[in-house]
Amino acid sequence: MKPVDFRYVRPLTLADAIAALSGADGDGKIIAGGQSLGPLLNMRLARPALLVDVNAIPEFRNIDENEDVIRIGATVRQREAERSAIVARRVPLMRDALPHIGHTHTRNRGTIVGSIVHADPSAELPLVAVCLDAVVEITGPGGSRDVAIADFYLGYLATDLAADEVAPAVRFPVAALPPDARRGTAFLEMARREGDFAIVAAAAQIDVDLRARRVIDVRLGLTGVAGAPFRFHAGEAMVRAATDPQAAFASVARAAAEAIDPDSDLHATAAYRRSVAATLLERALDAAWLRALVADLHA
Amino acid sequence: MSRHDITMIVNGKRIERSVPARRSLADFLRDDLQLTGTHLGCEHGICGACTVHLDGVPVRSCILYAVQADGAEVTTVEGLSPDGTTLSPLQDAFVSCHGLQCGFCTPGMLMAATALLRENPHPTDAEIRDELGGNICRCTGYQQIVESVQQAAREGFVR
Repeated sequence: MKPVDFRYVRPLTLADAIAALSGADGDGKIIAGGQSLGPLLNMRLARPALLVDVNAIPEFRNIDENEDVIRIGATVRQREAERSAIVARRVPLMRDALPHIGHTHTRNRGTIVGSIVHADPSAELPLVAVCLDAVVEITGPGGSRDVAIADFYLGYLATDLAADEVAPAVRFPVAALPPDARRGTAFLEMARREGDFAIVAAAAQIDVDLRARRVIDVRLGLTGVAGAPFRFHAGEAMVRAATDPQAAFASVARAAAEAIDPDSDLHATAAYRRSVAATLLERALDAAWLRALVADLHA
Repeated sequence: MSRHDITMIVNGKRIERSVPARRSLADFLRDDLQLTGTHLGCEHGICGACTVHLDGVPVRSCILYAVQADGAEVTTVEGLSPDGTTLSPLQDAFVSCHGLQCGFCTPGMLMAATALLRENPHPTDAEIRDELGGNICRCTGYQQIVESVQQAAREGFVR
């Protein structure tokens, strides 16, 4: 199908993008990669009067890093991040998630930030953002603000981003590990076909003090089980408290199945989602643990 | 409605046109430029039939608007021929390995596989299947498509 007619602008600055959006009276939409918005436009599920294309804004194109933070600009493509040495080294959970997103041809256009703010409840990158306590940078007519990802997702496809605001970047805190510590990550998903949105996906990141064999930090999350990504804080506490973490993984996974309240839909019943969530989370925990202990396993 | 004057290089030729904002790059190629080799299947980014190269990178042309490609270089299946009349080595391999049945998905498969072989001249079957996983063949002739790509790789795909 063809989209409903719209106006189109391609501003060169963030200020001009916000001015254009503000002038659209709530009926404007930002387009970056367009891999989610394009289908919605073509199927006429979205009918904005104005498209504001942010692809020509130079400062949106960068991946910046300092000691504590990786900052990913609004038009950094998923494929660029997948190939970025910075992402591989400092945000390995994102690197693990990226190959699951669509196909290389959609990742060539689709952006990291766009996926995070689009907030599809079974998308991969929102789960990564939630697990890593990302911060969404938001700029609008009233100025700029930072929103913690835990406060950003309000429910199914709903976020704290207003119609006249732009998200120029998302920041990921990536403080260095202590000496003798190593990080293991895993992102596993079940989808009907390779490249589809996940029915359920599980993410695990474990930082292990190799000398003491002690878990320093752990992040666990599931997607496809609620309107927004589910961060499993209670499970993280179970892993941290366990004297033998690996022995606790099965019970952590069972606890996850109890903690979630998924919906049934065309693709899977709630009971099936619970079962898949537990299985994937246990496998993700095992894989992340092994990768932390044996660095070479992290291909 | 907004109309836009756009300039792009399509298959090596400079093109200048005026388009409405909502015109997809695929429709622009087919209807404005009569380059009907690019096929439209699903029109929402799933089937891969409309794959073209945008600045050398394979993308879905059905969910990209022509106005967004202003200033870019676009290559379609018509641009794979080295001289406008003969086939590329990959196209030859599709012929000799029966890599097409109805032919509808073929332009997208060719654009996807061309990009793959440029980056990875000797892919494994798994790498081919992964890279072409975003292109659907409703005849389900996948086996021969993979064989075609392998044959082109064996014969030293060079474009």
